[in-house]
Amino acid sequence: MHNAGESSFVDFVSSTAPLGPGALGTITAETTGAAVQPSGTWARVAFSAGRVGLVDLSTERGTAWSAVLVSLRQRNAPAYIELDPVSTQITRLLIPLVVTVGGINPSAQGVEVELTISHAIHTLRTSHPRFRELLDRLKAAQASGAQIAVIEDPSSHEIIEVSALTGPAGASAPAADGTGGEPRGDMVALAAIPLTRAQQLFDLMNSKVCCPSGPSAPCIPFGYPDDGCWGRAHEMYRLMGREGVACDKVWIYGSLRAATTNNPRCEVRWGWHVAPTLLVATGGRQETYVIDPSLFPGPVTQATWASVQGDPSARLVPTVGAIFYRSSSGATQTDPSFTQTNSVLATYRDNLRLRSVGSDGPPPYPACLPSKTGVQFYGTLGAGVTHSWFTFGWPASWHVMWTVVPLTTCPGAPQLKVRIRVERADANNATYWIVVTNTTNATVRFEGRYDILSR
Amino acid sequence: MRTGIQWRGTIAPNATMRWFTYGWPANQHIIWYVMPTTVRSGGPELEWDVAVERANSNQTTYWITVRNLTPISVSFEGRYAVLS
Repeated sequence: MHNAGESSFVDFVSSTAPLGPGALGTITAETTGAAVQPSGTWARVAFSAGRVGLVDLSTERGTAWSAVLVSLRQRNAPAYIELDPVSTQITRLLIPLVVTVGGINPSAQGVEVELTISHAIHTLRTSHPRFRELLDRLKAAQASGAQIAVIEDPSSHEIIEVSALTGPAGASAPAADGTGGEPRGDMVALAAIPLTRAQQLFDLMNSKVCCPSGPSAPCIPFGYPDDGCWGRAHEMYRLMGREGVACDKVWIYGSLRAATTNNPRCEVRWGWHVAPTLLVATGGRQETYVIDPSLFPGPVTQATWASVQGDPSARLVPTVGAIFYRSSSGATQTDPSFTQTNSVLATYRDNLRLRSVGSDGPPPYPACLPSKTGVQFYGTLGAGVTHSWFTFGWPASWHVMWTVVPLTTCPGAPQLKVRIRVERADANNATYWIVVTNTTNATVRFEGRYDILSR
Repeated sequence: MRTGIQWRGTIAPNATMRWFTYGWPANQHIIWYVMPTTVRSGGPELEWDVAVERANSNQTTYWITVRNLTPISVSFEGRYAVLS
């Protein structure tokens, strides 16, 4: 496999195994002889080309990385690894995109690269120290149609590395179940449903949202809007079908830019996007509504959906719901067994998990949130941590209540507990101390709220 | 502001129980408290704490843990107030 330097590589995981502290010395002696912090519990990760890396399971990040590495092994998907050359500890883990190159277009910063299948816009900057080399690899892949591994910054989607994909696992993405024209058997005129039913279906889809720190099947990674929309849309198509509702889909093509609270940059850029649609009866007429929890808190009209994606000249194409992927030129694939769908969802669940333990923490990102009345502060609490915030200068004559509500979505169990303490700072002012406990094993963001009951 | 009773419960002597209530709009500011309906003067009967879960982008689930501090069964109302 490709080796960009002594400490970074793309390879397939062949095994992961937890190590006790006693075993650690053996591993370090075999590899480098370097000392690794003896505390903590470690996992030994072996790669198909013979390299070995260590992951510290005593940290939230290490636990998440270990889970992602196991997932990659189970899915026979490659990993991009950076190793500390001395300790062999894994210092960076990214999930390469296994793709073909659809197009390479000049941009102000370098080139924008269309990858298939991916709806994110990927950039190779001229400032990259190996810009020419990577561009040549992309052009060669475009010419040959070969699948390659593209590694990018997970927030900006700037390309870091381009690697040939010739691992022992074969490493080609599984073929879609069907390709070619529109599936004729699904061309059924849909009956309009009431808006209340559309809202119910939206709520059902939204309830499948992944917990960022522990996303597991069959959750849908709505919290990772950067990429994978075609997988999310097809899973919603499947779920609505189970409810007896045959949805359609709408595809949008253009230079898309959508605001989001779930990317540290507060926006995502796409070359295209897709979501399921429903025909809704509203006041004597029928209108197409879009179900897209990655962008909206409820069903919205197609016009509203398109309007937030930043390209007034974007092209909208409706299709039947059974279309799994549609290229901008109109080529389609289906996925009747949902094999591809499950693979896409697994990939972006893993990306969500990696993002959540990255330097920016889990989504949503407070800097992206609109200011709200009644919110005094935003907080972030690590797994199992209790922390106290204080806020002073509140008139003691006011009756003030304090609450906290998580921003990090994680259905299934309570996440936060809060205790309020109060200090009479002087004759006129009170200081409130808000003591918040994270009762989960993952980082939780929250907002600290107040209500003035009387003044 | 509006107030209401979400549920009524009874807790055995010195027991602790937890209830959850889901589907509350996440943008609403809500507080939870309890009021005994079993009369017993001379000391506190119940204490409670509240934990909260973000179930999805729109909704929260509240988990209310109530402790009976007395040696008798205590019935109570689980109350809420929507502050905004």
